[in-house]
Amino acid sequence: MLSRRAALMVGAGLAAAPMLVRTAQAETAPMVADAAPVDLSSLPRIRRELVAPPFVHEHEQVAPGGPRVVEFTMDIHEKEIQVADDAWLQAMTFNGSVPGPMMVVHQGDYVELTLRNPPANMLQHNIDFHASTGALGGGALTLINPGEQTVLRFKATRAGCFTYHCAPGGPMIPWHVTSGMSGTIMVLPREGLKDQHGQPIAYDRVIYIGENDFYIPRDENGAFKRYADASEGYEDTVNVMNKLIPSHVVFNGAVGALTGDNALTAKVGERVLFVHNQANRDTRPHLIGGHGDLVWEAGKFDNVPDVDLETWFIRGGSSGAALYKFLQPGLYAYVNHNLIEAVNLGATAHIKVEGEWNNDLMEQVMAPTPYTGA
Amino acid sequence: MKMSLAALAVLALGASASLHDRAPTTGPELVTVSAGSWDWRPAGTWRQDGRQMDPPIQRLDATEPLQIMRYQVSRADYATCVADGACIAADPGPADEPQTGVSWHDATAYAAWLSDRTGQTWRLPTDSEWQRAAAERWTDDALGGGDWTDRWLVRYDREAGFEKDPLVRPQGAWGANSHGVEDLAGNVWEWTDDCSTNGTLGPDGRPADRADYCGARVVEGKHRAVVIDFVRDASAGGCAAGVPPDHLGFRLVRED
Repeated sequence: MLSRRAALMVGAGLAAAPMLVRTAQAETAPMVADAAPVDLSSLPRIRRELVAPPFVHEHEQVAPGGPRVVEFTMDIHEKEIQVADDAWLQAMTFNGSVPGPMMVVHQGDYVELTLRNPPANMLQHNIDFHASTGALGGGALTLINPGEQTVLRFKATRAGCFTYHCAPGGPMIPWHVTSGMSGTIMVLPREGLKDQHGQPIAYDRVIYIGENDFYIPRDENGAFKRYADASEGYEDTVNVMNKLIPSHVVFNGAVGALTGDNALTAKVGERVLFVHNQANRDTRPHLIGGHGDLVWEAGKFDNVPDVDLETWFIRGGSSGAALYKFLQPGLYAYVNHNLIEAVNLGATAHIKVEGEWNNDLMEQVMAPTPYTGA
Repeated sequence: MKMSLAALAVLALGASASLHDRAPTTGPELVTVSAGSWDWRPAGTWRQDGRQMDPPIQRLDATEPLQIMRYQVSRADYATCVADGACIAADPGPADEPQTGVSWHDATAYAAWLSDRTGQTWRLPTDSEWQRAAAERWTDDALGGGDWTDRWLVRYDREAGFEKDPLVRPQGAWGANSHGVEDLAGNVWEWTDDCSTNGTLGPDGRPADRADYCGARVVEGKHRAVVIDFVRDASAGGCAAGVPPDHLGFRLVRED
């Protein structure tokens, strides 16, 4: 049987660019609407190079001046990733990572994204920014075939962490999202974050967690199936998806992506902003041994943050943020507090924290000794 | 010559009527670790004056040799016990791989069955015996000085430093140690008979007092771990427990 890749190549008659049958042009003119033009030529422009999660590109917490046009470029990569010791996924990724890289701008800035779908890919993709307004979040203006690229600009009018994801229409939408295509854009207030009293507050670092529910089919022996490409696994995967029971619930694309060798680090006294994206399914982060000092559960910074939370709720299709200052050294586990999902399905990150122990906060008064009860 | 129990079982089935007329089966292939001394650091959580400490390495001396299986119990061997109705079926896979997915109870049941079949006494090794047989394949897990949180992070980093390589391989794939014992400290951890321990060290630094909890047992491999005795797959880990064993299997010692 002809593979889909081979069929596409035959159809296109081009080995190098299977789906790009249109004659290559240097640039395609944008779609013109009967709308008043916008002149942003006077705005300063700044280019941000995206970095892979759990890290975030360099950025200012307080905007250094007036609005800017902030330029990003993302390449979409379809590639197989290992999700667990015994499980692989034909993933679809923004810029090669699951989740897609975190983008940071300030409220009032313009986001200008060059989205590229390299010729080696087999599928159409686009991007829907929950932070944007109109055109299905930009999805209606960004659908590109393999071998195409497009540029979208939108104004970041609302402050907060917002999910972005691929949404290329119909049944492709949940499949692309549960194949890895989502991420977070953080729109900071121009004056930075504020606590519950309206006082400015800063973070020392961002830890960016993308949570994914994967639906990997099993064979008749119960082993996870592995596919030659994404389309080969489509039918089986949709059957698993429609039962709504994930095979894996993981942070940053794989069981163990943020534990062991990949564990995160911090120091006592450091303030860490945990940004948590889940594009498809509700989740409930909890920091074992710590708290959420200030939590923007829904992620939107113009709301007064909750304080002292033990567990917070991230609605499927949103990104939330929690600020915590570490007060004790040792190992912390940041988990989805559905503990079945955390421990057995993978949704755990570890943070190694160095510093001095505070006996006032906690002390073992008696080590385990023989029971002396009645 | 290495002959698996499964092969022996086939022979036995073919001539079951005359089984007892045949020369007694020799059982699984053994390695004899000669009498002598070895270093042992007890497992467990130990304190001295309220602070967590490593118990000192002890030099142990044995006047008797130790008879230990050259290989971990294979799936084929284990299947024979299952076929006899004395063991519970465990993870399927190629016959020449070590049996994985077994609890301490499964391993103990196998030892009882093998003892019954051979008329010999088979049992799980103690942690000390395992270290004796493992020799240079045993990884010391002393954490050094510092506050308990420092020790906690040292342990986490050390365990995280071991390369994750969970693909089960055929027997012999991890090679032999200096005694000729195969596959020690590969990716199949081995049950020992030692219980989880909390203890205190005396002024001389030697274990003075200990309390054992035998609902959890010491498993040996790339690093020591303590696993609840009815668990067959400890690989999930996830919480603040450190890095978990990839697979659980076992090998036995023969008492002479």
